[in-house]
Amino acid sequence: MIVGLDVGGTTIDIVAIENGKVVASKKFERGESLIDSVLESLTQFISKEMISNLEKITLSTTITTNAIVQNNLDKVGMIIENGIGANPEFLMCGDMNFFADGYINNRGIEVKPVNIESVKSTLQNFKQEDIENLGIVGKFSVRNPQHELYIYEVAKEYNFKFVSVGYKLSGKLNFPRRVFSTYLNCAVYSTFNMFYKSILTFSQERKIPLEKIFVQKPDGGIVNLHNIECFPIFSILSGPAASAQGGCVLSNFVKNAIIIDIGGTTTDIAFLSNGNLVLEPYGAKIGKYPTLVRAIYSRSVGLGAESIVKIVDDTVKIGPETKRWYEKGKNDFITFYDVLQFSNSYHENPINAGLKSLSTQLNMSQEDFCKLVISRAAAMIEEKIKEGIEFINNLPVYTINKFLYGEKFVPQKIILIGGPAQLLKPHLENELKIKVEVPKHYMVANAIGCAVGSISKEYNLVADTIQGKMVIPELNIYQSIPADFTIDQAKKFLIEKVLECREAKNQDDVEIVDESSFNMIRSFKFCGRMIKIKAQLKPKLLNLRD
Amino acid sequence: MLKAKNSLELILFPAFDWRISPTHPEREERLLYTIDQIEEEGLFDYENIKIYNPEMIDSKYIEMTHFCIPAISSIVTVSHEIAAGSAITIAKKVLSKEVEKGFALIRPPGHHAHRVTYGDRGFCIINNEAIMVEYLRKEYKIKKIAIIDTDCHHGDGTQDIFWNDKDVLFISLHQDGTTLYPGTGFTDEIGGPSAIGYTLNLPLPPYTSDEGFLYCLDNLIIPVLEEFKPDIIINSAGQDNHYSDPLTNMNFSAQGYAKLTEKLSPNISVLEGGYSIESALPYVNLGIIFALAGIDYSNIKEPDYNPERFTQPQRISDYIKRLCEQVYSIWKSKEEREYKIKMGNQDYYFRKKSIYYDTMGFREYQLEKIKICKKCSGLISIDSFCLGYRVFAIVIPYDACNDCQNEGHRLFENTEVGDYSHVLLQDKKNFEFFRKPL
Ligand SMILES: [Zn+2]
Ligand SMILES: [Zn+2]
Repeated sequence: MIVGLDVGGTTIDIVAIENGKVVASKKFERGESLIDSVLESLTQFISKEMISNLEKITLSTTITTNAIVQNNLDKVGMIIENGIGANPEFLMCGDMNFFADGYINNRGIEVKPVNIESVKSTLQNFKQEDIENLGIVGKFSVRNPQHELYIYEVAKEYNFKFVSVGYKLSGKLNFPRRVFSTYLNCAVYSTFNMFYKSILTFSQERKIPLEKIFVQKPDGGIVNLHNIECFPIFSILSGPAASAQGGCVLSNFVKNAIIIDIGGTTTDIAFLSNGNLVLEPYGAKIGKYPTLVRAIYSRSVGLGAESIVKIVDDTVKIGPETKRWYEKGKNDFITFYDVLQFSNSYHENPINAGLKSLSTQLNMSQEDFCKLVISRAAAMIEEKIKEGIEFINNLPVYTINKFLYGEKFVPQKIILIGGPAQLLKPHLENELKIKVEVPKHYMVANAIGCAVGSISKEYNLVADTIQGKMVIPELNIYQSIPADFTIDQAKKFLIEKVLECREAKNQDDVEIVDESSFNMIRSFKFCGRMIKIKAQLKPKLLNLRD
Repeated sequence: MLKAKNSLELILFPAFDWRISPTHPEREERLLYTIDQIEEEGLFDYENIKIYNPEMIDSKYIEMTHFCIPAISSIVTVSHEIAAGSAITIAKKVLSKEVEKGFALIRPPGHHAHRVTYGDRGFCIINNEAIMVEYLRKEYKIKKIAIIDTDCHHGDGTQDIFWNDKDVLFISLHQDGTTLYPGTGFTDEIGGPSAIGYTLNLPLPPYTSDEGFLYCLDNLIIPVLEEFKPDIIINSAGQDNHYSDPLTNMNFSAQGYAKLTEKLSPNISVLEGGYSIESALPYVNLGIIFALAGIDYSNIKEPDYNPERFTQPQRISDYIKRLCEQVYSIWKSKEEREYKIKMGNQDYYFRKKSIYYDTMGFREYQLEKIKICKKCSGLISIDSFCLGYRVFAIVIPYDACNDCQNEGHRLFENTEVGDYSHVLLQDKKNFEFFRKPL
């Protein structure tokens, strides 16, 4: 049995899945303390019998995201080796920042050594200012982490509570994002650690081994709670990933689709292209920080069941303000949910007073007014869908082959999930002129998406035969290669290493998503090859049969 | 998110799967390090720096710009078509005001491609900027265009195409033709009878450094641009003036390129040459992008850059000063010179050319005949001989008077295919292309 838990804006949803069937699901109200609510709902939901055949529990929580948004963060000192490029001032995200002298270039060659004396005195300063968490980031460190590691070794003597080095967070190039990701990874350390410890206690009390507890990542993949301790940043923004994944597994398979999750306050839109959820090119953006944390690409609209409908300057406006149903007092406002309900049944109910007042303001019948509200809502959603389609179809292509033969993304259907999905379905179908499917269990699709997540990861191999070096930052591999090393050898090596680390069970789980090999010419002579390979663990989504 | 001062569109099309030959300098690796540097710099994250994919070019624009011999399909590769298409995508976004500036980082380049083209010259087959100009005129009715060519090689193809076109001001800064391919671009090449002074060449001595380039900009290019008042400025942004370029002998740096770009402030830049792919291109391209976007570029320096190594000798500075004065006087006397020609008793202006195709090792012989017309810039006809082909090509200019237009069509009708392998006509006024069947 697998259990998935998703913390939403207002509820905590939990499901249990066994043999491809949803066997139990429940929604809990969210209380004051998030951690308490999570533990409380887990305790209530997971019975003794469940524990005996429990395979895994996956948690998707907003705890680190909230900490960032609410600026509830640890003090962080940053050592940044910015090298050549933009003026680095905008990278000063830490509470204290130091720009170290030194440079490694795009091929991973040291151009200028790091000035360690100035680093040492900076570390001393950080300690004097009570900074406990340290981030170390260098430009092009994923091509050669030697400078980051050197500083890391030196920093050990200063006994920081938590130290994070940039190259370990992602193998992708993007220095500002590497700096911000490293900073955030340090800044959410205490918050995540609190959560980590509570779950640890819970698992010990309930005799659930820690190996069975996973956290959902924003790319839809999952990571064992134990392995994420050094990477708390990977627990951010998992909500949209959970819902997108839930939508995918619950519906009948198609290659291209749009997954829309309509919640209480927002609607999240994700895209399934060529059978895969579309990812952000570099990573998630969280608060004001762009990061390298792998994440699914999603668009969000401030429109949900609880969005208030009002009239501003003679036009209908929906959201982004919201009201909960129990906050409703004198029928002086209506929500989008009220409108949907009225349109589907037209029955007399207490909302009619509010509806009447709004429709009279526009000289309309209540029916026409509701139609107007719904078409306005559909237009808001459609705008974001268009943005997404444009984004996907404009992802950069670097080869003639892809330019000429790359397929354009055209969605075959919309998969609609979330509380008001059934009510919205006919209208959306009608307004957007596309097939809309509301799958079974649409109410708890997020938790299902969380439960079915599998380990997902990306690997970036770069081999340079002139230097005789190869790097795979994600596997911490930096080693020499012979001068006649080829792309096929590189692919074979990468797959072997992934298997060795037991991150994949067999060869078929590793998919090469991008590969290139460039001849390097110096003085008109061939003198080596630059080989680049990008691989990923194929996400293995469970197929639900009911 | 970061925001740049100017919104900027980039087309990054490295054509990673295309090359001329395995060890050719214009190769797949050329933009590899630049893309690394751009990615690591996080340029894709500026909210007003947008990356677009190119589009495929409509071959109509190629045939309105070039006479491709024996045919477009037999000499133009997909890669060239995409590069030219990129120039058009850039033009669209800038002209529709979607972005303020555009930079096409594409390969292969195009500025050595002449009006008549038999194939590859200096890695160019079709002229990306010239095709873009054709598009700008047709779709946006742009009248006055300035093309500033800062590639180290003389932009002889672009010069050829706009030789007799007063609406296109062409200025080329390059390493002196006595020391570098293609061997042209001297100060006395100043344009055809109706566009005298609208082609300006600044042949610079080897080892000119930042100082010399910026001097030309301040003392010639900017003043001329201020007087010409173009509706759009295009930069043929070749990067082979760099001190580390293996094919040339200049001493320009990334800081110099950035300053030049900032001062020139082109609406559109199109990458031309630049073969120091590892030591120069990543930094030069970054510098140009930052300068176009209005981002502080003071921290962009080549890792090995040492300004003292590149102090410009006094004799070079003196020479450049004289050069700018001389070229400026050409610009100043252009009306007078044109008047003299038009008032003389000459009916035609002839230009005899021998064009060497370095990549392929053959030569074209050409006689160009321009009618001296008092009402328009004049009908052009070209008699070209190369690779066993004999081509008769007629160009009716945009501003053609009725006489010249009719004469062009008559000439086309009356020329027998038997004498020529190709009889071709570009009617630029009506945007039409004609070819006599073989
Ligand atoms: Zn050049
Ligand atoms: Zn005329």
